[in-house]
Order: sequence, then C-alpha cells, then structure tokens
Amino acid sequence: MTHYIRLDVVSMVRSGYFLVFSVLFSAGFYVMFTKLFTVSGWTSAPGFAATYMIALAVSGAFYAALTGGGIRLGEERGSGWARQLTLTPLSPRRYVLGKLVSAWLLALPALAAIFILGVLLNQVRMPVGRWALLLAATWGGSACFAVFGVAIGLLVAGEATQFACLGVFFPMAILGGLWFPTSAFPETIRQLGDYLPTGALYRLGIAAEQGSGPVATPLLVLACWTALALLAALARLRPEAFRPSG
Amino acid sequence: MEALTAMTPDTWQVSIRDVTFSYGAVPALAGVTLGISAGEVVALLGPNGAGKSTLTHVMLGLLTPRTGQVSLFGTRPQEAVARGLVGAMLQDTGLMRHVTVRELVGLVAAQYGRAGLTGEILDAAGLADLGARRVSRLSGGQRQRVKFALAIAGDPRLLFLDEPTAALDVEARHAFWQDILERAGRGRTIVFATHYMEEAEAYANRIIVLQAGQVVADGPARQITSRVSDVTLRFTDPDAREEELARLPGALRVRGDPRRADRWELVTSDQDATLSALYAASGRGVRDLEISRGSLEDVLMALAKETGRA
Ligand SMILES: Nc1ncnc2c1ncn2[C@@H]1O[C@H](COP(=O)(O)OP(=O)(O)O)[C@@H](O)[C@H]1O
Ligand SMILES: [Mg+2]
Repeated sequence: MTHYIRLDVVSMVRSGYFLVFSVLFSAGFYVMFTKLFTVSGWTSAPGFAATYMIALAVSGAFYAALTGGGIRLGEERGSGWARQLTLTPLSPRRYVLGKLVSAWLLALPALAAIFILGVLLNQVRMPVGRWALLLAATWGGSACFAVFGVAIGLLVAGEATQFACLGVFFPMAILGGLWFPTSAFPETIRQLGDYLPTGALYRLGIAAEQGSGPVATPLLVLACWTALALLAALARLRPEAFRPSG
Repeated sequence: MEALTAMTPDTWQVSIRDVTFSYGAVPALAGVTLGISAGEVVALLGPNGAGKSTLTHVMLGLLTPRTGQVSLFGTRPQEAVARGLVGAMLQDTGLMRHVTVRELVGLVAAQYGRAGLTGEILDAAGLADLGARRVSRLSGGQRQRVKFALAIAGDPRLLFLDEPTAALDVEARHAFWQDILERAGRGRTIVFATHYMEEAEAYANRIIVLQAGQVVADGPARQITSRVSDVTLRFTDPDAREEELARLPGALRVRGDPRRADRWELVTSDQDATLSALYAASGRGVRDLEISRGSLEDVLMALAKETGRA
C-alpha cells in the first residue's frame, strides 16, 4: 500500500493542475488581500495577515484533499483503473485507504506553502511551539477533508466527480469564511458556517495560533462530519463499486 | 463434459454452479455450470452479447450472481484475488495517469511482492523499450500490451483475458499468444473470451460456447470445431464439370464462379475424401486451392440443429 500511496502522490503532483489550484490559487488570494488591495473593515483588522493565512491554508488543504481523494477516486472508478488495481492482492478497502492517506498527504503542501508565504511576505511571527500546534491542528483536521473527498469519490464516478467536488468546495469554503468575512451574511448563515468542517477547522487553527479560544466545539463538528463521511464511504464500498459503468 | 464430471470438484480452480445474473431486467447469464482445472487453456467463445464478459466478471467476484455459487481455488473469488492467485485483463480498463509504463507495471508487480521482476515483466509483454514512456503517450496497441503486463505481473496461476487481442496488430498478436502458450506450458490456467472461432481453435484446448447467457457446448477444442464438419473448398480447375464435381465423395454443393468459368466453390462434409478424389481424377490440374473452415456462426447453427433449438 505504501508503494501505491507514493506513486499516487507523485502522479498527482506531476499532474500540475493540482498544485495550481491547491497552492497557487490560495497563494494568489493571500497576496492579493494582504499586499495589493485594502478592504476597510476586513483587511485592516489587527492580525489579519495571520488569520487570513490560516483561512487560505485551510482552503488550499480542503481543495487538495477533495481533488486528491474525490476527483481521482471517482475518475479511477469510472475509467476502470480502480478495478484493475484491486484485482491484485491490493484489496478495494486498502486501495480506498491508500487514496485517503494520499489525499491527506496532499493537503500538506498547501498548508506549508501558505504558512511560508505568511512568514516571508507578511512577517507573521509566533513561537515555534505555536507554529507546530497550528500545523498539527490544520493538517490533523484535514483528515476530515480527506475522508470527505473519498466519500464523494465513492458516491459519484467519472467526470461528474469533478463537478461534485467543486459543488462541495465553493459553498463550504465561502460559508466557512475561508475567503471573505461572513459578517455580511445573515446571522443564521453565519452560524451555519461554524458547523461546517471548513469553518470548524478555521476556528481550530485560529485557536492554535492565539493559544486560546474554543476548541471543543470545532473538534466535535469535525468529528461528526468525519464520521458521517466515513459511514457514507463504507456504505458504498461494495464489490460492484469499481465497475467502470457504475 | 464426460471428462469433467469424472473429475472431483476439489481439483477445480474455477467452479461455477447454476449461476444466473441480470443487469436490472436484462438477463445476461441464464444458469451456467462449469468447472475448470489446473493447466487448461479455455476459450469462452460466443457472439457479442453472449455473456462472456459478464461470466468473466462473475468468476472474478466483480459481479455477485443473482443465484448460484462461484468459487476459485475452493474459496471466494475475492479471497483468491487477495492471495495473488489470479490475474486479469478486462475490457474498458483505464490506466493511471502521469506515470511511466515502468512505474505502473512496477506498482502492480509490487502488490504481488514481485517489484524486483518488473524488467522481466516488461520484456514478456513486449514493452522493453517503452518503460520510460508516460502511459498517456501510448498507442492503442501499446496500451493493450501494458494491460497484458499488468495481468501477468504476478505470474498468476489463473489468468482471465477478455478479448485480449483486440487492438493488437498481427505481430503483437503472435507474440502475445506465444507468451500465453509458454505460461500454459508451465501449468498456468488460462481462460480467455473471444468471438473469433480461429483464435479459440488455434490456442485453446477446451472451448466453452456461450450463447444468450447459456453454455451451449463445452468440450475439447477439436470436438467443438468438428461439429462444423462442412468445409468450403475453392479452387481453379479448367477441366472440371459441375456434374462430376457434385458426385465427389462428401460433396454437398457445387457452385461455379459466375466471373470465371474455371473457378469452383465446393462445400463438403468430408474434406479428406473429397480432396483425394479430386486429385486422384487423372488429368486434373487443380490449382489455387483455398480451404475455409466453419465460422462461429456455423458452429452456433450446427449446435442449434443438434439441440433442436432454432
Ligand atoms: N452494464 C450493463 N448494463 C446493462 N446490460 C449489460 C451491461 N453489460 C452487459 N449487458 C448486457 O448483458 C448481456 C451480456 O453482455 P456481455 O457479458 O458484455 O457479453 P459479451 O462479453 O459476450 O459480449 C448483453 O445483452 C449486454 O447487452
Ligand atoms: Mg465482452
């Protein structure tokens, strides 16, 4: 399985479009709103360079995990590659577990790249212990995104997976407050954001960075979403799941 | 069939009993029973839509039959696959992207603990020069060879091939069958689906004929193909006369070529007798003889006649 995870990650990185969307997209947003434009009441808030860094890192990790897990799994099921590979001693379960791990690993470059940008571009400073905690929290929480991606990849196959993943990504990223402040939204929608995995991981990251803040609720939210996605994935993992037509 | 029932089921590598399968309301297998033992080279022969692929998928555990039992090596198909006893080359198989041929074949070989043998596997599949090529930059025939390499990467004891020579040119086809025969010689079991009578006849030692989801014939390759005893002879003979030819032993029908007075077409039920009588008749200059054997359609017609099904 490690051999598979390694080759899967390598092929994903080589595919180019993955890095463009997971790293460059977030990096572009970060540069735009911390360096090029000022939006009063938002970008000028104290500590904005750090909080926006965390938001976009989470966004990049979310996208990476959805593509690495979901889009690829759906495509490989649709094309028949998943079926071919699991006709070896690599069982369908371990193949999907491999996809989960590689999706999780692929979230790491997005997190690291945006954090490095924060340090180099905006002199975001915090003690080493806080950095470690921030990375551990955001990457650890990204496991939820990886499970999410895998669940989508098992529910939808072929080209439709791409649209399904984007259909999940955009609303969840925006409602979770990863791109823009949600203060303009109605109160109910703003509260909804806290119960999305994106919003929850964002808040967890902020708590790690500041060394204080609510931790229990975001963790519980993440755990619930992970469990939900895991159940959906397990329900779909049947022998027929890897037929190209299905 | 007689030879099979004499054998004990526990020597069977593949055992299928009363299997039925439907895609929704579309029936694909209507009660299939068969056993395949070690070292057999079996052709699943049948026209398009006969159920060859469905049967192959059922044997691999990719489809769960509606009724009946399937076992490989006396266990569930998934278990046999997990133990690395099985390899397969199926239709509609995509490949991983952004990897080289060597990386891909190496990945599959590694699942069988054979990553170190990747070079040999590439050689066997005729991919020695293509190892560094990206999979996305292969021609149709080259992709087909990669799929073959994936099927044999584990040197499995039981190999399923679904229409394996589609998209292969003549040379690649020849190399492919050489490799298959070499494996069979080492006692590997081969089950391949085809709709080409010639392929089944040339490479299988047992033919299972499928039609509309049922086994309509199962036996040694020669026994099946001899069901179609009628052979068409075409030859040039300037001295021949139609009445004479029609009287040759075994001759069923004679037809002159409307475009050439000396060209004949003769259908016979006994090729040897007809030919020796034809050559024996003195003064005959028989030239450009062509013999065409029965096609799959002929076999199916002959079988239908035997069993009384139209
Ligand atoms: N995915 C599918 N959905 C619905 N019907 C199918 C599907 N695959 C095959 N069939 C039908 O099942 C029958 C057997 O098909 P198949 O096993 O592919 O035959 P073969 O491989 O001999 O050409 C055919 O009638 C075919 O149309
Ligand atoms: Mg078929």
